Amino acid sequence: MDKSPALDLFRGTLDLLILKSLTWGPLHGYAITNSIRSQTDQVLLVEEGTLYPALHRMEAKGWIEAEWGLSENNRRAKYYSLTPEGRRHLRAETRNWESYAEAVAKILGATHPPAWKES
Amino acid sequence: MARTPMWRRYLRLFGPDTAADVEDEIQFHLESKEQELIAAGWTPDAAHEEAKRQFGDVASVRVCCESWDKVQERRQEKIEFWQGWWQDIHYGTRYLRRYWGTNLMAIAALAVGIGSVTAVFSVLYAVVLHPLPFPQPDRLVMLWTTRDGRDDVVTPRNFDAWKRESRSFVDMAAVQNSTMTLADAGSTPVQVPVGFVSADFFKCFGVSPIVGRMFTSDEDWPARFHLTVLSHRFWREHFASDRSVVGSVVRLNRESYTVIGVMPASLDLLPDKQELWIPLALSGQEMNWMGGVLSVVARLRPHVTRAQAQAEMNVLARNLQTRYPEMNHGRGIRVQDYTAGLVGDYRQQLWLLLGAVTFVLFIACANVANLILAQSTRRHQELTVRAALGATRSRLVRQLLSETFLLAVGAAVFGLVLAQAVLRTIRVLGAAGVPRMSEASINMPVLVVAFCVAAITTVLCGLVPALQSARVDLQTVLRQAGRGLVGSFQDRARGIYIGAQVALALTLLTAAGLLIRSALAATHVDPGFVAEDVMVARTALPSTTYHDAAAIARTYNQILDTLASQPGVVSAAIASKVPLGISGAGLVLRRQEVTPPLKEDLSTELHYISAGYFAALRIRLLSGRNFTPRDRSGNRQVVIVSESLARKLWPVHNPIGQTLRLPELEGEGPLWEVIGVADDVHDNGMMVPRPSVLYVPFLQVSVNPWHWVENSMYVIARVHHGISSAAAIDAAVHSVDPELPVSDLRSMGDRVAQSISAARMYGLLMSALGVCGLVLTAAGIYGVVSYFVARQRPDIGVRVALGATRGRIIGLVLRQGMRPVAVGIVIGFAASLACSPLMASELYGVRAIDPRTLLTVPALLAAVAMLACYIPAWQASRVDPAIALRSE
Repeated sequence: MDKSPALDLFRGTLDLLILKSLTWGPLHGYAITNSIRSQTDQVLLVEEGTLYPALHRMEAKGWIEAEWGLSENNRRAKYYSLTPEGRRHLRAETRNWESYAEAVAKILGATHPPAWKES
Repeated sequence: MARTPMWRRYLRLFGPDTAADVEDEIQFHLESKEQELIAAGWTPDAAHEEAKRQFGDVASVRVCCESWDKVQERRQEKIEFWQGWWQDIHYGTRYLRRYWGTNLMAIAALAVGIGSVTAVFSVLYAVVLHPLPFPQPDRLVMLWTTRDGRDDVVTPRNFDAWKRESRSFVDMAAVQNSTMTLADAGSTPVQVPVGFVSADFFKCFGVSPIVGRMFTSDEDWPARFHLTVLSHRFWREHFASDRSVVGSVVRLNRESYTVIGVMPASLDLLPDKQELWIPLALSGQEMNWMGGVLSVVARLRPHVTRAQAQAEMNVLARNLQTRYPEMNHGRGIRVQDYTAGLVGDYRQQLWLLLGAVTFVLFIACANVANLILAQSTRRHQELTVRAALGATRSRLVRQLLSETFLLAVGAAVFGLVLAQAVLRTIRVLGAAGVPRMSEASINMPVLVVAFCVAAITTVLCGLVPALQSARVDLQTVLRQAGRGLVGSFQDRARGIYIGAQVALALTLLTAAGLLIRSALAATHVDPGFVAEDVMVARTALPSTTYHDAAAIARTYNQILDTLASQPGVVSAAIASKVPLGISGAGLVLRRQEVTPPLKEDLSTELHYISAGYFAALRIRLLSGRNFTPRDRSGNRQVVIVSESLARKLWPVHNPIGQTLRLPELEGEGPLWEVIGVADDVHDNGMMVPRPSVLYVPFLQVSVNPWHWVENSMYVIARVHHGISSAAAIDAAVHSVDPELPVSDLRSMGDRVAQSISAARMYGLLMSALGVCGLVLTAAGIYGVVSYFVARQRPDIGVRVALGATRGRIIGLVLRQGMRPVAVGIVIGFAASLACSPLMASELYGVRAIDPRTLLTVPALLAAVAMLACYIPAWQASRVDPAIALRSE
């Protein structure tokens, strides 16, 4: 599987977004894209080409599990839901993401030059 | 780890189809997108194209998803597999605890079965199956001269010819087993087994010395070097495993031998238990011996099979018959697998014993299967609920089988403890001369077999009950609220188990009965001599001091006179062989050397005896006279023949006064005249036919043939009844020469008892197993009939209420119980008949198809089965209809 670092960063974020959207209940892949798009006010667009591999990968890791069900328009659709393992992963990754974002925000929001000296 | 819910598993019943799933998922996405676009005002075609465009590369997504799905699939399988086992063990232990009483009984029965199978297998493995500790032991063979289909030791000239002219062997070596007198400073002289070996002997076995060196072929030459190689045992006992032993001196037969090396412990396993080895160094004179003295061992050339070697030796044997007719007339050569020769008769006996214990195990299995069947009726409710919750039949079968497996493993653990105890007992009792028996232990192969036996036991005990129990008919059972669904299938299974048990027990008991009858027959054999109050020992006159016939005869006469004058001694004798003693000499009577001439050459055993021999052993003289001290060299040469020899030599004439020539003893000497006929004697064992024997007075034998029996003259003393005079022989021999060895000093009674002890032991062992099987079978019948009675209690109550007599009730139950028993007896009878050819070689004095055994055993079994049925039947007849009906 693709292991380029740039994608990894995004993939980590994508995993987080998918897991979060599933906390509200089982969703099929199409609904997940819609959910992320609408929740971010169309800012984040999830590409299908990366969404589905990510879903299958996370299923293999045991974070989410799949079940076939009927969609709103009575079509057979594959619904994903969180496993306890996935929930745990989401909590841990959310904390990581928050501290990361906070750290980045601190630097970007700085109004004074850093007060360090070589000692 | 996430616990996958039960329902999820059933999706897989149809097998995973990842490709189709991925395709469906993608299609769903594309269609949803299309519809959204159409709703936003796109034309269907444009929407279709746009959805596809937005999705991107469908093919690569598909590949990526499928590969992840496969990972997921494998992970899922692993989880389910382990979860399943965890669950099975969990349920299993719970079940064992819940019904601990019955299960303990089952474990005990199986432990006895598995334990005895394991114990017998470990002995079989050590004695028969475990390869000898030499490189490529399957290439090792023994070579024998055959005479009348019997193996015989080899003459030096033949050995020389075989070694030179055969092509099938890498190495060939000869060993002459002998005993020498070892005189350590300050201790009484003892006889030790010594092997005179040709130079290649150790090379044949592929062993090299752990200290020092072996003999070189230079040392294998007439000028007998006084060199010796020690066995590991001798080195340990006499030199305390001192590594600087090379160069030490050992006093053998009053001569000094220099130690040049020590062999590894693996050679201590050889059956002859040699303590030391000395170069064979055959002299020119020895090369002309007519009698065999050598055991020949050889190693097959790579890629030469034993059959090929045998074919070559057959040709060589014919060749030698024309070249040396006097020593090879009518003789062949046999190439024998070394291990097979070592183990001999024990191979067959051990396999039969393994068969017997397997039967006991099977009988125990049938009992346990019946126990499990009975329990499964009680557990029907539980299983039904589980099935209703979605467990498949195969899942239930697996669960039930794993419960039985836990049972069997528990039994195997106890069984191994039991086997260990049995092996320790055997080791303490001494293994009655079974080679390599002492090596028997619970080792890796035995553990593997024990585990396999446990697995087989599981299937035997558990499969039918499990299949039966797992066949749950939800509706009926739930409606009946768990009241026994007692299908005819179950009852049929019970009947089959009973029948099988009876058949197995019958076969086992028949075998045991035959062996007991055979052992009894051996005990009641008239040996032809009277063993009571006779002491026997062996002594040897070393050829270094006693080298001419006169000196040897004088010394033995002195020993005889001294012995006869000892207090308590009634009569004394010496002989080259006593009944049940080790090897004697044999010779071939050529047809023209007997008057009137024979139709063909005849082989016979040859015993050198003193005049008192027949009196000391109370062997009957049927006609003619006994030897007297006057029958010595210089006087008319006389012989006594055994009855069977007399019949063969002179079927119509009176043997007394007939003459024959014995060129093997005397060259072209004078005629020997027959002066008496002695009764036939069981010389080679009670269970072996009585041989033809030619008795020659030892005083008339010249020195050369003495070599044949150089180290095995027996000294015999008949003593007054009840007087213990073990010391008499010892005292007599040592008063003549204090350095003469006295060995193997035992009473004749001991020898007789020991010769049949193996057969008796074997018979007892088989009987013990037979009784084991009988008890288990009786318990099984009792259990099943009791179960029937308990189940039919209301039914019986109704019958009693309607006026059935006790007799009728008993009859009813008996009929029900005895039906499978009768079938089992018929099958067992047939099986006994079929198995009896296997037994034939183990029997003496009884035919393999012995009407008495074949009728007694089924009768006994039927009686025991009847008793086992009668007890529950009697209880059934006491059923109080009021109580029975109320419980309904």
